[in-house]
Amino acid sequence: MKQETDLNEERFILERLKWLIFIRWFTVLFIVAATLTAINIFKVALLSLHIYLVALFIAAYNAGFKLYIQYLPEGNHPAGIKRLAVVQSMLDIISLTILIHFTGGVENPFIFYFIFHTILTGMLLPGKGSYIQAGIISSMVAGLFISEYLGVMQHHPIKGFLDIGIYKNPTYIAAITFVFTSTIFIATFFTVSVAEKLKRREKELAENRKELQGANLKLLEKDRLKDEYVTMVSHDLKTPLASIQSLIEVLMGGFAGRVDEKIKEILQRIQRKIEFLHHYTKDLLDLSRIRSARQLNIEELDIKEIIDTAVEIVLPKKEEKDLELSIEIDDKLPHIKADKELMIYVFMNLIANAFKYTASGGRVWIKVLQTGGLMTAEVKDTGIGIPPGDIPHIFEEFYRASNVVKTTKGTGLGLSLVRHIIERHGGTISIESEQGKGSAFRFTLPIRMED
Amino acid sequence: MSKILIIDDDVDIVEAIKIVLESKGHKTITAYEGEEGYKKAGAERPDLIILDVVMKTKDQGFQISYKLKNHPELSKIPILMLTSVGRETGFRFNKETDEDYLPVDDFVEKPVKPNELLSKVNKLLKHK
Repeated sequence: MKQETDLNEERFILERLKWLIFIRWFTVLFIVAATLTAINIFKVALLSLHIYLVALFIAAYNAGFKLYIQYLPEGNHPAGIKRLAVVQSMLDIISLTILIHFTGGVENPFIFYFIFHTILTGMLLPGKGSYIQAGIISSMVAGLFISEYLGVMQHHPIKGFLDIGIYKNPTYIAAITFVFTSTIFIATFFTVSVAEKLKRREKELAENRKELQGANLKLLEKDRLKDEYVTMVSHDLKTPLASIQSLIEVLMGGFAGRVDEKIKEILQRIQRKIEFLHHYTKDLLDLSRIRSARQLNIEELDIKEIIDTAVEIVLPKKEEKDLELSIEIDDKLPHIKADKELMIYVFMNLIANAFKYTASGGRVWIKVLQTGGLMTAEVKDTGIGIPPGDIPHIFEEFYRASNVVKTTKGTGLGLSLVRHIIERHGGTISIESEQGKGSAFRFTLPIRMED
Repeated sequence: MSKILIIDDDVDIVEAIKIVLESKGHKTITAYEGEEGYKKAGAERPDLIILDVVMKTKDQGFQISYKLKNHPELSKIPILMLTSVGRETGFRFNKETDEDYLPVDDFVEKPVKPNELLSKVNKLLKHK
C-alpha cells in the first residue's frame, strides 16, 4: 500500500517536472523578448549581455534536466525524483535572483514573479520543503536588497525607468522586504494547504477504491458459493422427488402387483401433489437463481431459434388439447443481444401459460415485430383471461388470479420472474386481458443492448 | 430373456427399474456406482446397460459410457442413458443430435415412465 502511494507520488511529481521543463522554455523566451522590448521600445538601458547569459544558463540546465528525465529508468526512487525537483527549484531561484540583481534589484517590479515559483513548488512538494523554499527566496531577495543598499554588491539601475536611487532608501527597502516576504509566505501557506488537502483526498480515494475492490471480490466469491449451493440444493431436492415419482409410476402401472381402483385413486392424488412440489421447487430455485444472478450472459440471439426451443419444451403442456398455435416473426428482425437461457425462460413461461389457460378449440399466437430500435413480442391466447381487479397485481411474486387460484396448480412466480428478466434487459412488459375472451402479454426489448 | 445391468446411485430408481424389467422376465444386475458398474459389465457381459449420468461426479455416467464404448468387447453392448436434464433445464438429449459426443444408444428421462422404459429397452435389445 505504502509503496503504491509512493509510486503514484513519484509519477505525479515526474509529470509536473516535465511540465515545468516545458514552461521553462517559454520563460527563457519571455526573458529575451522582455529585454528586447524594454531596450528597443521603452528605451531602457539594460545590461543585456548579462541577462542573455542568465537566459542561456536557464536554457542549459533545462536541456540537461530534459535529457536526464528522458533517460531515467522506470520505477525510480521517489527520493531521487524529489531531489531533482528541489535542485531545479533552487536553480530557478538563483537565476531569478541574479536577473533581478542585474536589472535594478529592489527597483525591479518583477521581483513579485517569485510568487509563481512559490505556488508551483507548493503544489509539487507540499510540506516543509515549500516553507524552506519560501525562507530561501525571502532571505536571498532581502540579502540582495541589503547588499546593494550597503554597497557590498554593486547596484545596477535600470536607466530610463527609475533614476531616483530608491535602493538607498532604508524605509522603502524595509517595507518592500516585509511585503515581499509576507506575500511569499502567505502564498506558500495557501498553496500548501490546498495541495495537501487534495493529496489527502486522493489518498482517501485510492484507499476507498482498494476497499471497494476487496468488497467486490468478496461478493463475487459469495456469488459463486451461492450458485454452487443453489445447484446442490436443486439436485438434492429434485432427485428424491424423481425417485418417488418413478416408484409411483411402477405401482400405478401394476408392475408390483395388481392395484385396485381405490388405491389407484390415492396414488393419483399423491402423484399430483408430488408434481406440484416438483414445480414449486423448480420455480423457487429459478427465482433465487435468476433474481440473484449478478450478471447477464449476453450474446447475440436469433429470436426464432429461442421461440422454437421454448415451444418444443412446453409442447407437452398442450396435452391433448386441440389448440391452434401460430408463430409469426418479422423476417427482417436482426439478432438481439440478450441472455439466451433467460429469453427461453420468458417465452417458455408465457407460452406455457397460454396453453394452460386456453380451452380446447382455442388459439395461441406468438408474434414478434421490430419497431424502431425495439423488438416487440406478443403472446396472445383465447383463454379464460384475467379479472380486471387482478391485472395490476399479476406480475407480483406469488400472486395468482382469483379465477385460477382454486382450479389450476401454479406458484405465482412465473410472471414475476418474466417481468424481472425483461426489466433487467432494459425492456418493459404489459398485459391486455378480457375475462372470458383471452389475454395478450406484450414485451419490448432493445435490439442493441449495451453489455 | 435378457440380462440387463442397471447403474445408478439412487437405490429407489434402481429398485423401480428392476421391478419393471423383472416383471417382463428380464434378469437384472445392479451397481450403485460407476466404476463398480464398469467392472460388472466386464464380468457379467450384460445384453444392455442402463446408466445414470450424475453419480459420484456430475458426469460420471458420461465417463463410464466413453470407457465402455472404447472397450474392444464391451463396446457392442447398447447403453440406455438415464438423465434428469429435461427436468432441470427443459432441454432434452436426443439420439440424433447428441450422438457425436455422447456414445450412448438412447436416452430415458427421470422420473422413469415404465412403458417408455420398456419400449426403449425392447428396441435396443432387438437391434442388438
